[in-house]
Amino acid sequence: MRPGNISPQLARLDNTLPLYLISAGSQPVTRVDFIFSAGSWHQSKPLMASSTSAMLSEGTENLTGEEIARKADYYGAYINTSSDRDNAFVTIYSLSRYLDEVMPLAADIIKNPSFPERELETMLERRKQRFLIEKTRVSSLAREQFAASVFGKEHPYGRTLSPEDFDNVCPSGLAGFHRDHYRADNCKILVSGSYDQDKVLSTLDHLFGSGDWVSGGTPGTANQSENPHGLKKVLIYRDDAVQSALRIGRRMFPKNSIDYPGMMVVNSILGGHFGSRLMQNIREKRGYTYGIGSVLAGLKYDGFMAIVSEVGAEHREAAVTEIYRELEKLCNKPVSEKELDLTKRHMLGEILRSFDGPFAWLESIRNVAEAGMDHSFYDNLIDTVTEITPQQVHDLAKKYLMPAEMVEVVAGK
Amino acid sequence: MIEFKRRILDNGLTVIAHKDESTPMAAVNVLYDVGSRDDRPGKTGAAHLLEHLMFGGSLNIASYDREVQKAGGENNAFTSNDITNYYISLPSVNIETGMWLESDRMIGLNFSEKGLDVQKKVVAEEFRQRYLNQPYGDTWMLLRPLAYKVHPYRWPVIGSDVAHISNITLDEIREYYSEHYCPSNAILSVSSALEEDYCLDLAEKWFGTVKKRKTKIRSTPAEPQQDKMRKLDVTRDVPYDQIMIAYHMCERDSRRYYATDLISDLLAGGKSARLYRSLVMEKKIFGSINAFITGDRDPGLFVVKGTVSEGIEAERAYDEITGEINDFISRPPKNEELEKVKNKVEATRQYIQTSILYKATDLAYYELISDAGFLNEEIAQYRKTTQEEITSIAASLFRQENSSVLFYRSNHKSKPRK
Repeated sequence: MRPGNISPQLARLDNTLPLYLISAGSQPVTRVDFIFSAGSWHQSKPLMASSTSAMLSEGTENLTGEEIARKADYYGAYINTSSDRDNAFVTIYSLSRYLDEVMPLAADIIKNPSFPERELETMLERRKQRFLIEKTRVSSLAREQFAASVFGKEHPYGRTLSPEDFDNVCPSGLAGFHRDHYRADNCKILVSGSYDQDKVLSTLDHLFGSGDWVSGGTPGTANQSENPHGLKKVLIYRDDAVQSALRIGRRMFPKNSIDYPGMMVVNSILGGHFGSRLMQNIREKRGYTYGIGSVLAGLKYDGFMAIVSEVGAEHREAAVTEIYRELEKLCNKPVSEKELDLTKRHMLGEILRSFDGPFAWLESIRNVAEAGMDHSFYDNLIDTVTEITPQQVHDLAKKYLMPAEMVEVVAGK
Repeated sequence: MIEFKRRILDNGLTVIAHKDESTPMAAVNVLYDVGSRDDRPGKTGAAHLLEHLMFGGSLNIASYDREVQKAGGENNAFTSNDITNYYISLPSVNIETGMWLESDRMIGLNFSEKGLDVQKKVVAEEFRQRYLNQPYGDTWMLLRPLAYKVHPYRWPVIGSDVAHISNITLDEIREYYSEHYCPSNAILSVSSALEEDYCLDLAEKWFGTVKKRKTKIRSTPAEPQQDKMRKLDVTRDVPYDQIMIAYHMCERDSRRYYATDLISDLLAGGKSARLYRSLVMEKKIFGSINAFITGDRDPGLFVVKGTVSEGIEAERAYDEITGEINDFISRPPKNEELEKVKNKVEATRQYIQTSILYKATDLAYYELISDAGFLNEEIAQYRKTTQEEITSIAASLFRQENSSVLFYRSNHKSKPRK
């Protein structure tokens, strides 16, 4: 079980902007993704990266936000903007036959956003509403505190927002952030689907291949502080909670770390799927929770692993005890050949699935491209999954999953 | 165009096979024509609880999950008002494993007190996680019994009370299974790069031995026509007021379904839609607003739901929605606006069909509601919807006496009033 050729075709626009082209699928549709190194890691003030991204489609020098939305809707296209810690994305879904109509809209919002003041104000009020609603969820409280505890409150991956931050975003700051980061030399384009390749290449070259949006300077880098650790054990008490949200985990490493693929195997055994140890113990054996899992998050500059669950408040202590017991078990005893073999089969199936269909394939390439890597990551991952031994799993567990190293956050009671 | 072949086995099981050469994976989907509508009052949540027990092992298979994992598969299930649907996606070389797993749990389950007990606890935690421990989590628990007085759609799929779920006995759940999980009450659909006839033969091989059983005949009480507006006011510990308005709409296989669906898109399908432009971006009455249909097989609900902006009275926000709706009836969409939402429906269908799993699930569902081939004709139904239909259906849908309104108010005292 190994996916066929997963490597996209590489091309460059006239201004050297890199393109990753995938031909796949039987539906006449195309997805195009733009990746900019313009996530919150790169911002100097709160909300700059996410607000810049959210404002792209709210108005340009040529079109109002309403006109942009109406045109995209008319062609049945989706033009979505988003951002995370490392990057900002513009994602377009279009019927292939309308790419010539839809891509100029994408070019306009990427290159000429005007950050209109009224729309900015509305957008910030809406986001503040969402933020304050989020703050009432125990899962959100735990997630936020966990990041702060793992990376430290001053670290770009650990910073938390306050409601006042939404009142202090100005259009000129966003325009500046856009000018510095939404540049051809800070961008990658991914195209996937069933489309006419020559035509798409010439459309993209025409819209994005010129020298007029290549930067002169270098984008500002984050003021990364070396104050890594916050509190290791935190209880955010909520008297009315009927469930407590748990996050137990630790700081790890960036996605390009040598131990990343092996730790994916370890993580899968621990809590990566329905048959994993945590799920079988905490849910299927004891019924403490609807779901529990562990995630290994490899970011561009750092990373973490976290065991995540919401458990009945009365089961909180017992659940935490069992989680540590599972960690100890992994550290004390090598996994059996049989269990490891099951995990390997599951993971290989998962990898195959992640390249099935044009959109999934693009996403898999994007997941590595955003950390500065390419498809060879998957070749390496498949080799690791196929070859890893119980002893190697044990060594990795001992190296990274000692219970004493864990940060533990509970929101609830 | 989604092509497929169909075979009905001697035991009554309907099998649909679709070929997609572009994929190394196979999707195996089994739909049972049973949902929360088949629960009994006082014992609501049974259909969903049974879905959980379907993963606890069957006649010849001790651990369903382990076998799926061995085959490199991924599986899940959902229960709705109308159906319970199970699916596996796995490398197509292992398609027979999928059929073995699904046929074995159609023959019989490993029921045990212990398994039932654990899954009751798991479902109780699901109930807490989704409905009790979430801001606005209980809105559907409140809206359903407001809109439905007789029809079983009046309770949520998970059950209306944790006590109902914990009171269900092993015998009752066993009976539920034997009454509803019969081959003649199920539809199997398969998508993969394998030849359709080959897949149908495989289905015959694995499911042909499942014994024919008699399905319980369903008799669902019809919801009487609503003749007066209903209103419910609650106050909760949430930061903003929320408003939900539910209007009774047509059944799934009605011709009026398409116009009703398009109305929800015209009002709230994306950033160019009317409610969003007017009430979010221009007047700032709502931080977010949505309109959608439940699309159930029996007459469902058309729902408008909005989270009110800080400083706006809920009553005013409600008036603004009804104002926009009246405006919609008096100022119906012009050609371009209607064309826009039709294009979007058609394109979205194409995006979804890039996934073989969705194709398999859709084929089974359309086979249930009319005919799997209808999946290919539905766009034409949307296309031929006229402005006149939209206006006349909107006028009958949005009558005040056809509405149930939930005012879900914030208790946050510090909220400034403008």
